Amino acid sequence: MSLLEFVSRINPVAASGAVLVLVGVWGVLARPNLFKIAIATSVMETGVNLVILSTGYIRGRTAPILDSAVAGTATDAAGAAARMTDPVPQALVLTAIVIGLAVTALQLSYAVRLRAAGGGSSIESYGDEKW
Amino acid sequence: MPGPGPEVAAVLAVFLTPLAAGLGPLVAKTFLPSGPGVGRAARIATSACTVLGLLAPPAALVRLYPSVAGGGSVAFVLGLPSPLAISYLLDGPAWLACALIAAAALGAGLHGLSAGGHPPVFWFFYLLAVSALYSCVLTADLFNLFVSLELLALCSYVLIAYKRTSASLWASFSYLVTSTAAVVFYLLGLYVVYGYAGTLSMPDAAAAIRSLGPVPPRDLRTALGFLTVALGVRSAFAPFHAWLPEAHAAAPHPVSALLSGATLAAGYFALGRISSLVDVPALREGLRFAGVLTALTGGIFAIAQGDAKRLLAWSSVGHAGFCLAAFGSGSFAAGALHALAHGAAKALLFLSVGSAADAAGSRDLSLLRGRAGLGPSLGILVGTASLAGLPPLAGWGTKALTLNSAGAGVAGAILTVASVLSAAAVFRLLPILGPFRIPAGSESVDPGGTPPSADASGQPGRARDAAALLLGLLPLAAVCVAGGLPRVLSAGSALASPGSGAPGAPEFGLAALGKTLTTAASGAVLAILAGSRRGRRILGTWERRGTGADAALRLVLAGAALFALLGLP
Repeated sequence: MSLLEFVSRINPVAASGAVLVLVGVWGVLARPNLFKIAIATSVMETGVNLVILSTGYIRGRTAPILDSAVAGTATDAAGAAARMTDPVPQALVLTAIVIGLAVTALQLSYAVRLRAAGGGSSIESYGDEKW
Repeated sequence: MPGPGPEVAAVLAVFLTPLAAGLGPLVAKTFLPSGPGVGRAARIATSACTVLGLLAPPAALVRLYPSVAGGGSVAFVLGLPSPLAISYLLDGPAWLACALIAAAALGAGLHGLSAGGHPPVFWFFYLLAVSALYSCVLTADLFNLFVSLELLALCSYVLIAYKRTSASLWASFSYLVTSTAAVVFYLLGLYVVYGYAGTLSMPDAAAAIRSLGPVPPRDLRTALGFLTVALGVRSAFAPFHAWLPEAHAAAPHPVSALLSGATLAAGYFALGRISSLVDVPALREGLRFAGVLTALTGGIFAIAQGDAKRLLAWSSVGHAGFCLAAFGSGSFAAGALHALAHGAAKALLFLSVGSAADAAGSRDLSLLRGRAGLGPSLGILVGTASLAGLPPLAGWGTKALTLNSAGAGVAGAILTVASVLSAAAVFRLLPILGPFRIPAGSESVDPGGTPPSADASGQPGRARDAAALLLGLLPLAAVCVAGGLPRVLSAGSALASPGSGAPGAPEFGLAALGKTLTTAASGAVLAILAGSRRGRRILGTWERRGTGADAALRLVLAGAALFALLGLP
């Protein structure tokens, strides 16, 4: 298999998602700043969302909205469904985005509060709190 | 599927009533005058809704018992027609898990309400967390499990950091980061399973995967490893445990009790359900290894702690290891029963030790000496005896079951050592036991002696409060005592293993008794050594090792890579 053929087989959505996941993992592990950790987890989640979305991503198909434009040429609902991408991953990702938003917001607000309470923004300045 | 029958309605009631009742405190906060001094109406409305939301699920569970006894189950779907619907399944193990959640939530809730000092919004999050817990063990849908886990986690973050001290914020932050990183792996695993099975319902997906051939594809085995990682963070086994000690120690007492008592067990039961998807022998072996390691780590660190709540938290890690070792050895039921016994005893201990810590104004074991009142003392006595595996209590039978299921090899030997360590750790709590009378002097000192973070609206009538505290401890103590009865134990193991053979009841002969007593005696000796001045000096050096957020993150990511690799061969 030639290199060109290999590249053409890569699902661009899944590939970019995988790259984002790796960037996020690197950020979470290598950055000591609390805010950057929050952003890195967010990047990681976005990457996973793209990967999940890629199961529903099929070249040459339309958005999963069953209207007359899609159903027009097909004779039955099954035929119309075969012309659409899979809607389930999109529904899942929508939910995951909402949950991820809540988690990121909470994470950032904790980071702000920790800063305001006198701690630094670096992960290394915590861990020996007196109870 | 027939229309929603009374059974379906009862299952819905189990996880929806806490959710509905949770609106009560919110409405009370919004529309009734609240705040220190005023707000009697808001307080009463909050208490009434909370008690209602916590009492309804156990009532529904009692009603559902005949449906699950004898290997039956209640399965139904919500929403759209079958392939897209969200499926729920109440089987024997799920019923047991719900019973534990009910007991822990009720005990912790009553205790927290009678102790006072928690605003309405706290109870809103508490009820939401309880509802999410029920949903975690009842759902049979992979994505709904993700949503329930995240809802539970979000509520836990808020509840842990409710006092907004810098320590609790930090503990909550490190739990949040760890858990979010792990959830990413859950989504990846879910994506692979959906890609192969085309459905998210666990029974349907399991059937679809079985039809792929005798050996599941490699991707799916890796996917199961990823799914296990996220549940590993919830059920806190090594290497996913590092967030737990700080989080459970920093949380308000009812939250610690709920998290240690019910959440760890819920994670275990969800793990049992997930692992029915794909059979990966290497992963099961890995879990067994992780379980043995966790039990040992938890025991060693628990005995080294000087902080009473952190000691309990580390002991939870150790017991999670026992459950997991049984699970990895192929006996889900033994681990499930031990998770139940541990959950009830640990919730009881967190509440009792919490009361004593509030009275003393410190969580330091050396300052807590003799500070527990009558109720907390009884709680500590029952909880300690059960966790140490002393005869008439629940922990006795279930610990024997887990040790039996682990077999006699190296794993069995390490687990025996770990059980001595875990017994020694809880024995270190015994000096807290109060002088079984309320001294007149200390009573007047109490309100002033409480830490400044405690709520100032101390109510009059301390005798009534003591009775109410006892009321919160009673359901949990009852579970600890009743679980030790041979009849209850065998009924439990029949429920925990529907279909297949129940783990044989442990022989309660003289040999077993001798072994138990030897374990307890060596535990007591170790506890005395560890509590001595020299012991404290030696153990104090590793008291706080390996529990920072960065360490926790690294452990989770390394563990995830490891679990994914286990699926490869």
